[in-house]
Amino acid sequence: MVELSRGSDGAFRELFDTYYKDLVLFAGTYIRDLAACEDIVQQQFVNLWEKRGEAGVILSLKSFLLKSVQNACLSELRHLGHENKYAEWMAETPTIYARETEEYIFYSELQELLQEALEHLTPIQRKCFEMNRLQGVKQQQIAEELNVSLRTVELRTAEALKILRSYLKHYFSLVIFFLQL
Amino acid sequence: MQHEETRIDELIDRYFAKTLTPAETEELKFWLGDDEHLRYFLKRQNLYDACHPAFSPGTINEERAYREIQARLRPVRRLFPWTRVAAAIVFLAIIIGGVFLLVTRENKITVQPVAQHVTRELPAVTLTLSSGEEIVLSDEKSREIVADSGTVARGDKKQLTYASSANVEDSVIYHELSVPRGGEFFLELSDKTKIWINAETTVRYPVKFARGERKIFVDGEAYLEVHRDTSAPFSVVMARNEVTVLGTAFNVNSYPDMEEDRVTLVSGKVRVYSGKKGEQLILNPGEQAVIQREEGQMTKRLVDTGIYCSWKDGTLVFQNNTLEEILRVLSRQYDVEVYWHDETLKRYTFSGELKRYDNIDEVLKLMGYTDDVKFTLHGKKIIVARP
Repeated sequence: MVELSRGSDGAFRELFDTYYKDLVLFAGTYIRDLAACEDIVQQQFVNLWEKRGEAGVILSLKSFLLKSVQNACLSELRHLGHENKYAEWMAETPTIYARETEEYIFYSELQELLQEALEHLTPIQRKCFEMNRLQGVKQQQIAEELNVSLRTVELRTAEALKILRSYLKHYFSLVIFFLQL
Repeated sequence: MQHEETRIDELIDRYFAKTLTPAETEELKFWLGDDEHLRYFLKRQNLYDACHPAFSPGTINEERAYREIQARLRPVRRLFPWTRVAAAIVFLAIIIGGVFLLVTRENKITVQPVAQHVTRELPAVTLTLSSGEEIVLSDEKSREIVADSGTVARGDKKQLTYASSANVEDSVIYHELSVPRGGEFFLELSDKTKIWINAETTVRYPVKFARGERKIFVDGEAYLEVHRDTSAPFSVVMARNEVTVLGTAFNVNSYPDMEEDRVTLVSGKVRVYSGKKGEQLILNPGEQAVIQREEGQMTKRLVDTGIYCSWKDGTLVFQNNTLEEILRVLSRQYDVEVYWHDETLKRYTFSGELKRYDNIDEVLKLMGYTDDVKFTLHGKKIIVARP
């Protein structure tokens, strides 16, 4: 019994480490107040822990947490009397959304995805891409810094974009929003 | 079809950019009536959100959040069921190495108080008058404090009571009390407000308050029981933040070496102002405002006020506090310096309750029983190391 509980303890901490930050950012899509979001997410973890005896009922922790954070946010918005278009749409079609939660991509997951995609580039492609697109360095400046021609920088950046675009094709909109390709 | 998709993508883009006209909003809403369309939209929304986090991810303090969850999970009553009964018994409930959800993992240690109780010698408190003159309060017996306008207060080395007085029209005269490390003091102001002042704290206050306003300055930690006077609100000004009250009891903690200011309300109602953000919030009894030093971010939570206010009754309560936090408090209370032989020990957490008048070596001995950490006391220095 002790061993079991001890295991749950570790699992709880792990769960917290995995999801806390992302869930706060998720809550932030509803409520633009960090303190309120942290409060909501913390309460969901408390609820989860207190329900741990019934854990068998929870099929997917990710879906469960997302769903409970979402519900808490929507109820907070209602409480505040805020009209929110997005919330309205959500409320009208709750079942659809529930199906989607398992596929929801968290901030940190997206970061990982991008890192993974970057692994597919050659060092020079990656360097050109990161400096230009992620750090906003002008191509001329990159050319000077890397001691290559401007043409080379342009070519390598374009290659990098092409590779990333094909790698990330499942995340079509990521390409648009994140990398502004 | 291709045309329609492009059109919808544009609408969705502009929805995120918040540049849709009402007519276009209706158009998008209509399009979303289809399940497949909604799924597509949600995916886009998801990725947009993931790329544009509402808050900078770096500002989310996970360690603090985890501690707050711990606090919500385990009310202190359950942790210390027999503390009231065994008031005379000093004990430390120790929880080892960061796993603290489980009551079964606590090692409770009970120790009878040492027979020869060596009373701690309290360091003298300094009172600075408006003239700049300093008076060292070291008298065993009560004496009169004669200042600017005649006799204003009576007190000894442990407490000072100002003559009660009506509020004045003209400019107010300030006195300042400095309680050093290892000290503590009780102050009663001219409006009968009672203030318990903790170690390493300075309080600045008028000898007589101005009409319509009572304002004092606290740098450090103090517990206040404000005498109710609806005609003159009472404000406590900290280095960065401010609390306004009518009649109430609360604790302010604003030590400069802490990451946050904390205002804990026991009774009544207070309004807390965050200096940095210009925000304010109202606390109800049992609530605590935590104001981040760096960002001025203010949050409210329910707490067991006893944990934060019991110091005034000579008890120190720790609940899942890190060793670093505990030793910071102890070094203030006992005026000792802490040296970390192993920095990783700072993150160990302990819970427990101890009488403030115990000798520091007794306290350290109790914590040392965990076999996780070893304390060596050299005069006024504590060395923290692995055993």
